[in-house]
Amino acid sequence: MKNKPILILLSMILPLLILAGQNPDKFLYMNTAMGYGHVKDSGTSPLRYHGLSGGANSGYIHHSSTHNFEILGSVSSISGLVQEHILNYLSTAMDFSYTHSLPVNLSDNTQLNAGAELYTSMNFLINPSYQNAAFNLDFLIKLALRAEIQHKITIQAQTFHLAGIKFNIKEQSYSPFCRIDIPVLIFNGRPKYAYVSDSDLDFFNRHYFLGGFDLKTQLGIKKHLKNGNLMELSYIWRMGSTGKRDIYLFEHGSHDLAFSLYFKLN
Amino acid sequence: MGVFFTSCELAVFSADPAETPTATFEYLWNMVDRQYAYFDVKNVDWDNIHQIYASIIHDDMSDDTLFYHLARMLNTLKDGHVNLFSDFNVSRFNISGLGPQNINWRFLKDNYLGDDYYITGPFSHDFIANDQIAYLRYASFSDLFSSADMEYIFNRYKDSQGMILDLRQNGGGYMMNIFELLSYFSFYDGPIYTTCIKSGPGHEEFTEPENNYIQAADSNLHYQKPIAVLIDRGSYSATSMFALSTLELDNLFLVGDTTGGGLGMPNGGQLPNGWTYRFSITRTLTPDGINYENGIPPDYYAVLDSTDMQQGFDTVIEKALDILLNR
Repeated sequence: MKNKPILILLSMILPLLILAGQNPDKFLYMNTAMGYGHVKDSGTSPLRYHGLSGGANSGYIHHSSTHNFEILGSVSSISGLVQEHILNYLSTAMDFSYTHSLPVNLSDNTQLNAGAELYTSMNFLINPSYQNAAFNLDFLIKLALRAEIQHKITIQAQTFHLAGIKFNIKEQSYSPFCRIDIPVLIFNGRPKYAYVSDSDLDFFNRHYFLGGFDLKTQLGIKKHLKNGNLMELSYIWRMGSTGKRDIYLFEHGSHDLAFSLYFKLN
Repeated sequence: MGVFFTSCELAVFSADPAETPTATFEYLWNMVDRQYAYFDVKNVDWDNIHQIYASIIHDDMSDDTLFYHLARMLNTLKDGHVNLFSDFNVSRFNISGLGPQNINWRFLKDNYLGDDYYITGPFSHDFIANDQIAYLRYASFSDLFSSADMEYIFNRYKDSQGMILDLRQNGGGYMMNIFELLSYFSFYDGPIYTTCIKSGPGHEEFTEPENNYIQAADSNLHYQKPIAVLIDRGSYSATSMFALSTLELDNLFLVGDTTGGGLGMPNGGQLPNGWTYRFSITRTLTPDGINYENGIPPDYYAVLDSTDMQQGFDTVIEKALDILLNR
């Protein structure tokens, strides 16, 4: 179908158009994360590499009482070590998501959203110990269901005395939240049988298949600042596997502590 | 929370392998069995090799002993592209040892080039045979050269009757240098060799052969006169590929001893105990489908002869000169 790319593009822009007239909050989002990760690519090694993980992402967030739309670009990495060998797993991704408030009356301050996420990434694996298999390129496109719950807590302004000193605490608002992305459809591009990358053979000639899983969970808390900006501290757990259809199973997991800033644009 | 989620991962992810000598041996044997590209010409019964080494290797042996046996197992393939790497040793098969020492650089300088030969980029070169023939020594395909290097060399030797390109003991290097060098020597537009890659675990499971072509250099620098390419058992990997490519080219011919082979692309991997390895996973054939992995034979055989050397002659160069000057 010739118009397929146009339709996909329209479906991505459509939520923005829907939200345009709803006086939403618009944010520039910036995030950095660091933690522990592990990665195993059976095409080159039966061993799991453990080490540091980290990443950063940035993008645009469109938030209203009924909808949430995000476009984020990200880079993340896991650098693992086995003996003197170092494996670097570097991922660059674009992430589009749209969630809608569910008509569930939990409380006035609680918002339950559900929707979908489209995640596309190019992932590089680099380990100089593997000679002509030292460099590898993977592709992943994921369609996931997203569910998130958020509850806003407001602590009223208060004054108290301690050891003769007067303390004034201003009103503060926090929003603990939990978000989970459950994959529905994953399209993978992985090396073919011989697992070679440094050759005159077609570099993009990969083994393409549907399957595997890629789960992401985020737990955190947002602090609402007076000027409308937000600060966020969260724990992100991600685990993925290319599954049984891959010629060589690829698995990764990471546990990151993330710090994020939301700069209000309107 | 992290501990809880890590526990979830362990329940879902594949188990890590045992790091024992027997697990390491089985893994390596299997990887070679499923991915090595040249069983057809190596005359090795790999199943029998498994039987032999399975009876030798046990879990109580030291790393040193395990390395010794795994290296011996790999060396039954007699392949210079097969190595085992540990933090204390590197196994290898001495392919150049299959033939005689066929070049003596000091002797060559003393008797042909003198001390004032030119060095342009990676090439050592000068006129020999009363300035009738250009001599060009290229010691490694890992050494890069520029079009300016080639321009200087071809201008200097444009009036020579022919050229000797000495690739003896050139152990290979970058594939791109093969095509770059050949692009100055020929306008041939047919396939020079074909490559196929392992596509499954069977010893004969390969992709369809893909043709490889030379793209003639975009300049006036082509050297179309006869070129004698000197080779020996130490001419390995990319150098063997270069020698293989000359089979399709009319103005290049091979003089010396059979090359070492090594026409496959070695791929690496890791074993359960952390050591790494490499072996060839591609097969390179002539456009007619001939497999020269065990070495490309010369068009004109010549090896260094001690009697010739006593008289100041490099037998291989003399053979090349004889052909070039009387062609």
